[in-house]
Amino acid sequence: MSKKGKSAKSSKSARKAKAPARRTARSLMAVAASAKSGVKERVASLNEVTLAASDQDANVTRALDILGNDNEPAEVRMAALEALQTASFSVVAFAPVRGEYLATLRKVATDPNAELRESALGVLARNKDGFAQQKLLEGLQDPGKALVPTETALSLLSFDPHADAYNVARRIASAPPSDDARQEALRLLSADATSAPLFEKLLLDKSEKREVRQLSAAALHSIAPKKFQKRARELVFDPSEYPDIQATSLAAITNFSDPEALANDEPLLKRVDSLSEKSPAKVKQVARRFMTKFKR
Amino acid sequence: MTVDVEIQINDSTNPRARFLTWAPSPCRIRVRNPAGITTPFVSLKISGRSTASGGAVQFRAGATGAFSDSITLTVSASGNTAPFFSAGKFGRPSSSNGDVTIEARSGTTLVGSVPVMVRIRKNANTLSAPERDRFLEALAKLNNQGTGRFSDFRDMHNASALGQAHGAPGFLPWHRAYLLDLERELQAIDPSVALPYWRFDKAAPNIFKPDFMGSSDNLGTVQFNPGHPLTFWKTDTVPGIKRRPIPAFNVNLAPPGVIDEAATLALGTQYKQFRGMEGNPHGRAHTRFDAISFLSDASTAPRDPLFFLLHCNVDRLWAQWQKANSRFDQAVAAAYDENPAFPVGHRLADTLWPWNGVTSRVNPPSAPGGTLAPSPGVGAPGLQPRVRDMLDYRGVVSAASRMGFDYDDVKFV
Ligand SMILES: [Cu+2]
Repeated sequence: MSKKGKSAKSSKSARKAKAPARRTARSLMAVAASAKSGVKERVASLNEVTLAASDQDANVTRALDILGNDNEPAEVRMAALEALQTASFSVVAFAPVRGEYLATLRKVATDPNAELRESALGVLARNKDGFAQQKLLEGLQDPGKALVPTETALSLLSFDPHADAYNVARRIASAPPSDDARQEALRLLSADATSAPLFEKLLLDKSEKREVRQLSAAALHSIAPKKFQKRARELVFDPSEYPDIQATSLAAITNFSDPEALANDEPLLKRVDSLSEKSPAKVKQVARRFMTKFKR
Repeated sequence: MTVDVEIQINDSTNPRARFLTWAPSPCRIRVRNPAGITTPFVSLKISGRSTASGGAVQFRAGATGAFSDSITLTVSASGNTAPFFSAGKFGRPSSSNGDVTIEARSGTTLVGSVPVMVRIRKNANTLSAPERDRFLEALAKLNNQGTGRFSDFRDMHNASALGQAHGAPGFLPWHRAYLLDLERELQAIDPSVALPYWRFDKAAPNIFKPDFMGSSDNLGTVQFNPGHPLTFWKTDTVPGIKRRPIPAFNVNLAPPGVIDEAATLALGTQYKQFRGMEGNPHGRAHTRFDAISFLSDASTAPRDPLFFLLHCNVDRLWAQWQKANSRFDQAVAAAYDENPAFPVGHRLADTLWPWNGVTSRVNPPSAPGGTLAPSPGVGAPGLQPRVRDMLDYRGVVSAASRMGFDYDDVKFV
């Protein structure tokens, strides 16, 4: 815990030479909670404070009050959220106030400030909070109710993917409002076993964006690894394929294929041998790794 | 036939035990073939031979005293072993397995040698490309398809289990065991790997590049170079890693709001004070990433492999503090915060979950991963370590407590 001492803000050089005098959590929170302090000073105090939820003092309550009060400046509330989120890592000590923290975040989830909404929903979604998931889904189904941009909502739903989210994601992927939204919809679907044919199609489509094809490779590898290995082998042989995709495919074969089957795959060994001699640098590098691993 | 001697590192002939740290390793030498020896004893000179950028080793004959570059031992010709000690030379860690050789000479004749590695946890930002790639390959293999052994490390740190490890004094010992377990699993895949650490109080731009832990795109999806071993990283059901620095954190600079090493070490000379580092720098380092990032919540943090580099630095800071204040001995009150009021798992005599197999402390009840991975070179901290077993990691109080890891910037003496 921080040492008692006067709130000396030592100079940079003095800081280096000696440990800084640390202000107590109580004095820092007094500054943070006071409307008389400037916004900058309040943010700085919240950035410095270490909240120990087990203490019976009012520090955590003060931080929660700031976070939940929409009359407070947004920067100060964000700093309070960060300090609380930091304290939440001390799970045992934080347990008594966890309920109140989550309740405050649910309130902040519909705040007029976009950054606060997103951060609150982020913490809640990572804790698989049903209220947050419901709000995020509603916003995707009815853009008038959206609390965060489409891609953010999809990204947050991917912490606990389930059928309802897959349905919305599938719809967005087929008629996306933006590239970012499509990318996140696909990322969410990469946990959905029924989406294998979609990713197979995207992986093989040379007109697709590089990011989408890379994501499709990872998705297919995840949900249909045998199918992906077969496709990856084809891509390695395709002379018109992009080096990025070929390197990714070859890396997947190198790392995940059945070594015995590979040892008997003469055409592949020959192909990779030639790629290890003559191909773009990124392909060559992976081809050489393959050869060191499988050359007899 | 000529004279031939056998050199045992960590008192073992197993090649997998041929790893040294800054702490003294017990070694033995014996005459395997006495051909040509006419006296009952033979004088053998033991020294190290390093490659250009390789590790360097030093020796002493007994359990105490100064180390030197070479020692001469009188060894029985009948095959009885003679003990000696060997350690890495501080500042000269290895960069690959076997890049330093321990040699034995009779006169000028080489009569025995073994390749060894001074295996040390290093700063990730300055890791060589081969060291970095070996680490990444081993990590990718351990997490193969999001199943297998790595998922146990996920489950050990998930929401229901977090109370075992956080918010009380057991935080540092628990995470030391956790990292050691993971490191030993990586070493079973590639014995040359040591966990690197992320110094979160310094600029570490190389860690955030697409050839290492990846760069974050605008959606916070981590991007790797094509063919990178972590391209297919998957945890739970969703492939990929979400990690986006908060706007104030430029990854080419040190993250703001995280107290530096000097300030961390100055938290106090009592463990009770020092363990406040769980908030800052530890918690603050986690929350230098925004609301969509795995790292910024305790329940999702281990889904990002950067988590292990972050925690390796937390453990290194504890090691620095232990060294600075002589806090390796669990019998010294200031070395730990012992109090019967703390929950089970946070008192010195308590065994640590999940390695103890106890399933009644967590909900849902489970103890993933089995016992702690053993090491071919050292016996500690055992398969089911207690809190108190995790303090003396380099065998300062008792040589048998040595765990076989060390940090590049934490001196032994
Ligand atoms: Cu942590």
